[in-house]
Amino acid sequence: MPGMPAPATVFPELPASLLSALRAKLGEEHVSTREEDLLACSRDMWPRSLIRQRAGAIEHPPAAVVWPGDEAQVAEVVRLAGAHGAPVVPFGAGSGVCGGTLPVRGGLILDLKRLDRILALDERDRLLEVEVGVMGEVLERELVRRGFSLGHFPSSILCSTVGGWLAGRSAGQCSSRFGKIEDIVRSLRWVDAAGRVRETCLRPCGVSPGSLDALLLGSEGTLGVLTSARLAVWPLARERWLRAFRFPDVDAGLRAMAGMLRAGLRPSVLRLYDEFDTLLARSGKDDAGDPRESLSASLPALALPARALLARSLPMVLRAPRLLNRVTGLLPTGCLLVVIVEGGLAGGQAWRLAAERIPALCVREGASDAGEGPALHWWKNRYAISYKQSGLFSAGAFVDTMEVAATWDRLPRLYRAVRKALEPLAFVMAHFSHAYREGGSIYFTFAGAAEDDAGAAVLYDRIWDAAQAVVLSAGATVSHHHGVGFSKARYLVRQLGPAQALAEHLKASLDPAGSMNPGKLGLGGGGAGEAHHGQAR
Amino acid sequence: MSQARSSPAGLGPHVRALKHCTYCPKLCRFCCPTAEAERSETVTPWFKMTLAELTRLGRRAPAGGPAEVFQHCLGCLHCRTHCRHQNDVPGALLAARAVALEAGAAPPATTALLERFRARGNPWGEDLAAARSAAVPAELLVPEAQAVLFPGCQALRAPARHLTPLLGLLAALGVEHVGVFSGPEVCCGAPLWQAGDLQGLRAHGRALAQRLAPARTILCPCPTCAWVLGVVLREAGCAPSGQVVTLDAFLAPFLRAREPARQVPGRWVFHDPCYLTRYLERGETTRQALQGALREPLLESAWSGQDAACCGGGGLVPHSLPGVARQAAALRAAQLEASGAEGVVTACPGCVRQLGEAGPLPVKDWVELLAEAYAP
Repeated sequence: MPGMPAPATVFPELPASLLSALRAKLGEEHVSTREEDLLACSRDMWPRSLIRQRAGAIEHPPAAVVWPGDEAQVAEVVRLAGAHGAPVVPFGAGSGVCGGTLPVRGGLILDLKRLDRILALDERDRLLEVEVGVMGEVLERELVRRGFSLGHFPSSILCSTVGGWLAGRSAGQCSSRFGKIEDIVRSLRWVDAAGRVRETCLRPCGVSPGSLDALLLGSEGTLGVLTSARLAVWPLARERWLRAFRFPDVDAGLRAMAGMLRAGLRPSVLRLYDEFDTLLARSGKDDAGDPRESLSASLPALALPARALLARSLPMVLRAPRLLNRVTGLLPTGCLLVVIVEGGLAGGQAWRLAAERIPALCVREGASDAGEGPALHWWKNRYAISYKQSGLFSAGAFVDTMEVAATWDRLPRLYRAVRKALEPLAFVMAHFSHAYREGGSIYFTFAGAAEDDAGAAVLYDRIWDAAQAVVLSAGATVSHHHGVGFSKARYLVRQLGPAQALAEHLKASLDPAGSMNPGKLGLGGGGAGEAHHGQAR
Repeated sequence: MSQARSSPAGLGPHVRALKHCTYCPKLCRFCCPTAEAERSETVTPWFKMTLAELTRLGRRAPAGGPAEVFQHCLGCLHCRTHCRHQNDVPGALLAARAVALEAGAAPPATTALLERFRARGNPWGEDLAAARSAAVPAELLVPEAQAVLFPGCQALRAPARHLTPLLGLLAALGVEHVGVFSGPEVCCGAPLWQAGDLQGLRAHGRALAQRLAPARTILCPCPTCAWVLGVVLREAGCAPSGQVVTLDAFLAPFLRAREPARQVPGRWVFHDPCYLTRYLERGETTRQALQGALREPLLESAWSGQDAACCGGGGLVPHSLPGVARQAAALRAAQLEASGAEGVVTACPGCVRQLGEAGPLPVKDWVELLAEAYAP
């Protein structure tokens, strides 16, 4: 409400000697303790932070923000911060959803966006060398201009950096063809916790024995700071086959997906939506902003007045999630599978063969051919889903996503168990969007509301605890491509079990001072990942 | 025409956009020229709007940091190209600047600019009326003309590049009925609008409207002037009564009626001025008019049309944050150079100046190329 006093923000501080040294090395204008700069880096897109901000709380401001201009300056910052015992939090575009860049122990935000150069593009060997600070969309457009593509299209491509992709092991919408980012990386340059520049061996494929890449990818800045990478690129696709199929239920769709992957087919896009997500995927002329509108537009069975009422009172409706889940579960929508196969890549005519075999595989599992239309609609709106978040939060509700992975045999049970656990707490839907020969990920979306923001934060924690309890007991991974950050740290610790001690040893040996992004991935001690419990109460 | 709001009438009308931007995962940041130039979270549309929202809620006072941050917007409207909510970020930030100005919290650079404007009627504080008198034959400076060319202050700073070729082109096309605006208000008032000085804008607009009263047609070769005279002043309730016409629309019948004497050689890439393409939506018609004068097909950069990057010349940024303006210009110049062109052509005097100082390619106002093609 206008004029409502907000909780006072407490800004941490750094030794004056450290700030002076940083200014001497980086230049006055590249070191800031200005409140506005600190506030801008005080949260990422972790929905719990958004709930708290809505309540007026700024929980994790850093003490300073620095913008090094090159790798040597990154090393200087890490050395100086280490010498003063100051935490260092590497920062790309701050679009992560797990609190991975929250400066939970204060310290420095190390903003890497000035490292945004494309260093080389070897068109013959199809290798790109790029710094970590470049924005995804900017990079992809430049590659397209030169006749290539990275093949990596996370739905955050408009608002994330290469560094963020590497740090969180991101997956793109074409992952079943090109793999996750770790499959695209060929080598990494990084600054270790002692401020030394390191480089991993250039490798011709995605996996190499003894490579440190596997350790650094997904380490979220807890072991060092990634500065540049060599990545595989592909010539642009010349042809694209788009098709959608409607399955009677999730199980049948999953069997078809597994069948394709086991048969060696590699569509670029392979996405199965559950019944309600199917409604959302199909809704609207183009899936624009306000989820209150798209939600109501997605319910053709409801009369117009009822839809209008729903659009206006979404937060109230979301406070009765059990009823909403049951009502929407009765709608006879089926489950949509979107398949896109691209031609003109290295595979020659293989794509044509894939396009010929896929319909038969789907029909065998009881699907009907929905034609090109829904797939084309998805393609045109493939980044649109991210716009829906604003409307829900503006309306006083909240929304989040949870991406977990399991083998094919576990996926259907996992899907149902998570749904069941969340049905009393939030409106829930899911799609299956990254598929591999052995299994795939489930991408749950849940939306909820409470009487006030304090209640919303409590409900939000209950939802995550309930969902992750099911995930852990089902033998699935607690994360697939959003990273772990701060929010999932405690679940990762449980998943690792005794192996967590090994991770702690590794961290202690690579970052003895514990200054690199402390409190993330459950590393750094002090009950990491538990801290946010109780803050809103 | 674009539906962008033009009046900084408080932050109230922008509540929906402010909220949506605050909770958005920064989906337009990659195309924001100040965010890309400065590489800072603080100047992303997301945070500028967050700060404005905190100001609206009374959680932050506008004085100091916030008022300064609100200046980091070129007003290019590129963000809206990628906003499915169609949020008007520049409009909201203009309103935020107005709030800061009203609270006596405008940054010193803004205050200095407004003082210059009050002294000489333009943001540079130069004697541009004298420049106009030197460049325009006296017989064209007719106060009571029914069709008036309003050159705009940017063109008057380099009349040989903009005004002289335009007058030559009009003569070559047989246009004889257009006089040149002769009043002391050499500027359309855009800097007042962009500074959030709505009171000053209204006073300036009323004076302009009075001076332009005899004109039925007001020809604006500068797209910013066309937007301000045609839309902003109308929304502020002080618009001139005549019809504001963009240059491409005005020239269209004359260009159709006459073949160029020659076609200009060379590979030219077109830079879309923000006000021409995103506000006035005249980018395509300008391209079509220009193409007939060129020997080679007009080239496009990888970022063009509604997706063209700003040259850094918008808003008050060249005045208050010249380093940011230069960096934005350098980024845009590099994009244009990557097209393989031998030269850049655009349709805004401000863009000509910005890009001319930023990159290795020669930069021409499109009237220069048209004048060359149609010269007898």
